[in-house]
Amino acid sequence: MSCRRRTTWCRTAVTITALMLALGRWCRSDEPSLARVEAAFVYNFTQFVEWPADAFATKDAPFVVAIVGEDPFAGALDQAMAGKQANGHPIVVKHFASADRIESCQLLFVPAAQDAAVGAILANAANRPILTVGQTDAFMRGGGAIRLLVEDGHMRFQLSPDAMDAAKLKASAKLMKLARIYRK
Amino acid sequence: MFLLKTLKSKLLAMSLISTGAALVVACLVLAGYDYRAFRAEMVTRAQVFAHIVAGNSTAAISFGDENDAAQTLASLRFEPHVVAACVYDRSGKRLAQYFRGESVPLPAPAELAPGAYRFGAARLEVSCPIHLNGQMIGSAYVASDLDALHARTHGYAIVFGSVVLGAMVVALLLAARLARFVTGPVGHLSRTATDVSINRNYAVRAEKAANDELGNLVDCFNGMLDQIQERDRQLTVHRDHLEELVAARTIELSKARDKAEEASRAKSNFLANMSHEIRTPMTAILGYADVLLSPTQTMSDRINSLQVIRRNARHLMDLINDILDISKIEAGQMTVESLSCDPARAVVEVVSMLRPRAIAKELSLTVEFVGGIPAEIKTDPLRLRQVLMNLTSNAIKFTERGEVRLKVSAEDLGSGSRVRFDIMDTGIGITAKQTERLFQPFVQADESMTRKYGGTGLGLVISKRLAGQLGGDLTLRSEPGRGTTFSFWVQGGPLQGVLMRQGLSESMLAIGSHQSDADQIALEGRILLVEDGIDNQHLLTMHLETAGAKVIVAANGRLGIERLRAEPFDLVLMDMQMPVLDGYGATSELRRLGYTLPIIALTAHAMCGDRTKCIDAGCTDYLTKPVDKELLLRTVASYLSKAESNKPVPTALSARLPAVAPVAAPGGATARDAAAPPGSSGVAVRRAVLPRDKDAMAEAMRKAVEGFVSRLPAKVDALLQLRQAGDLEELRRLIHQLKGAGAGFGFPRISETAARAEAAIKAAAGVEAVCAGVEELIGLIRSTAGYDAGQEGHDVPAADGKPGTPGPQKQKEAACPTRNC
Repeated sequence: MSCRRRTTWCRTAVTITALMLALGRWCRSDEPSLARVEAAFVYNFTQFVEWPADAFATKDAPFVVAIVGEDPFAGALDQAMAGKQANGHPIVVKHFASADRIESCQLLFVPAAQDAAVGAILANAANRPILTVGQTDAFMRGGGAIRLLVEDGHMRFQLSPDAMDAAKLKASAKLMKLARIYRK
Repeated sequence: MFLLKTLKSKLLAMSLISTGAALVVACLVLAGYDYRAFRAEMVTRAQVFAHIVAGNSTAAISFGDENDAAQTLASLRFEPHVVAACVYDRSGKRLAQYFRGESVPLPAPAELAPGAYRFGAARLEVSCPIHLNGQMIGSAYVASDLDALHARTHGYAIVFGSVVLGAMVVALLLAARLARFVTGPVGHLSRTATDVSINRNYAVRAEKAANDELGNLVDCFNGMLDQIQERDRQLTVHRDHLEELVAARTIELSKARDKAEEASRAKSNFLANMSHEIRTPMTAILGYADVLLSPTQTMSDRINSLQVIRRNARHLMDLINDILDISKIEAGQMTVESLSCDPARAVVEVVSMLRPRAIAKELSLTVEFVGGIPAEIKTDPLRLRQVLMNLTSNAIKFTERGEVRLKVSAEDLGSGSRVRFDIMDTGIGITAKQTERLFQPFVQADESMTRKYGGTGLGLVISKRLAGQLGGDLTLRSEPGRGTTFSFWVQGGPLQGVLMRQGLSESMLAIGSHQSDADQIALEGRILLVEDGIDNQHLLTMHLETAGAKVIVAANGRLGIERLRAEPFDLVLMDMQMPVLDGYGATSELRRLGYTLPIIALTAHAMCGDRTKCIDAGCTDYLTKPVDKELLLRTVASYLSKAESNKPVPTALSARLPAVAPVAAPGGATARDAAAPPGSSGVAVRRAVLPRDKDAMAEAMRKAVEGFVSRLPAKVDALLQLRQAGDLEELRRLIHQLKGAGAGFGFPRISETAARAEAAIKAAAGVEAVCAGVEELIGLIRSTAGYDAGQEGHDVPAADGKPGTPGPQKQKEAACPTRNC
């Protein structure tokens, strides 16, 4: 048994190594593909997080996904969200040029390019039921809720329970189980 | 089944098979149910695992986290039966997989629709869709091995096998024990039946164990044995007794055969005796008749011959009467009447009639009356006299020397009376063995005796039967060589008001020792003779007037009645067959008119019915033709004496005296008898004052015969006329008269020829036969009429007495062509 398991482990290790090599190659060569994975992750977050009822102005108010600055997804997010729903509301993707222009929204994506203004952006969103999703460590340090990152060739994410609590958002246990928990 | 030879093994097999079958069916049903339930449970269980995997894999699939998915699947290791599992994402890509042991081929998601399951040969596979917020994002696959199912099936097989085996063992034990209730009695019955059939022992019985069907069978079996045993016993008894029975039957049969042979022999002997007996007097009669016909005979020789003829004829008559009586007795037609009768007088009459015979044999014949004798009893006087006559004449016949004694006694039994007669002789006697046969018909004590003593051998038989019919019996006591005593008694009816005469003696009642001679009887009185036949008129008139009576003749019943209206008579003699008004009609009419005096019927018929017929018509008594002179005179005398005592002055019918029939007034007669001095009882029948000599009688006879002969030519004319006219009835009447008269006047051949002619007419024989008879009669009469009475048989050969005379023959030949009768 132990011999067989060891063999299995060996085989797994080999496989993982091969996969890492393949992913590295894929990441470099196929950027939009990464954007699509990130878009899928963002969409999945809307599915595993629960917003409070007062997050929406009306019952049939749209679920607004806001992107600050340049769109890093190159339209992939719009594609992923099209016709979908979150928390029973139709999802609408909105693009904002800067943080001060951001209107009421439920999810705010802060691309890595906005690292400089991350403080202001997060401050603006603070204490509001807004799930903030970023790409950088600074974003997390600035009080962001979820950070997308690539780890060993795999797309992962960091989640800050404090930020979630502050925003009065409830993350699903399953999400928590998959997330890299971020503590200050 | 062929191995199951005993009832017990069959019963056990039955219980085992039924128990086993029931258990197997029950176990199979249970197992089937459980198998299905277990399979369903396995499916549910596998689906639960699949659901858990699916639920726990949503995030992993959403974020494509293979590790997380693998971790989730790894948790299945706590379920030993799950051998493989995997998670597919939306596109059908296998995100993670799990194998318990060696890897097994996993199906593509399309092979098994999400939510479905399938049982393979070795695995149960289930698939469960993975949903997230109402959208299917993948599916979970779980494969479970079937070890549990196999183990369960295996366990079932073991458990059920044990249960069935155990139950059958228990059933076998129970059945073996319970079967005794059936096999026990059946075995007992079977052994009993075997015992019965092999040992033929029908005495054994089966024992009954219970009141069920077997008990009933035992009862029936025992019942059958009972019947067989009973039949067996009867057979044995029958077989044992069969020989006895056969022996007894053989003895009976041989006795019956002996009896029949003896009877047959007796009958043959009887016939032989009869022909001898009949021939003997017949020879004498014919012989003396021929002698009589001889013209050279003197009158006294003729009278002598006539007496011989009369005696023999009378003997013949007795014989014939006896035969008639016995034939009546044998046919059970003998009847007796119940009339008034004086027993003492009957005895005395019989004795006085037989006295001449006793005197001829030098025997003493006495009568002794013991105690009181009733003056009158109710019996049949004729039969009583017949028995007395028979016994007394027998006693005389069989006694060579010594005496014959009659003893008469009577006893009053209250409701009736019994008169007893003992006839004692000192004759040859008879042995006890002979006594037995004595009262059988056609048997005399010794057949050889018949030769010596004569007689029909019927007298005692008739007497005994008659005695029985008269309410008594006839017995005898005898010592061979010492004598015989016949005792005979009759019932006499009640004796109330009947005089008992004490100290009677024969002489008191004697009619006279010579009274048996008819010539000694004297009559006194007027007698009306109603008779159409002129010859009978003459004959009867002659007899009666010779005895002293006054006779008036009437030719038929009508004339007779007229005569009775005109003048008084003491007695009427009435012929029964007459023209115009016959005797029956005349008598009935007279009685209806109130005539009470005696009417004595005269009839040619000798059969018993006639007597009754005459008495019914009103006649007082009855005489048969040809009339016996002595009987005629005696009868007439007895009635005249009664008439005289009752009615001293005879009156004509017109006087219409009160009807007092002599028979109906016994009181008066008794009183008269009691009052009359001894010896005067035979008043009317007194001794003839003047004894007539033979010449006088012969003279009277001659006159009568001459008269008869002188009337013969007229008869011939009448016969011819009637034959010509063809009046058969008148012809017969005339011939009938000739028959009676011929005999009466001493012309037997006329009589017998007439009888033949009459018989021919009566039998409605052919014309030829009737004519021949009539011709013969005419011829005979003509030949007779040509001579006087003494020469009647002159030209007739007398030796054989046949009517084959030349005269009649010629006459017949001459007459025949003209006849047309």
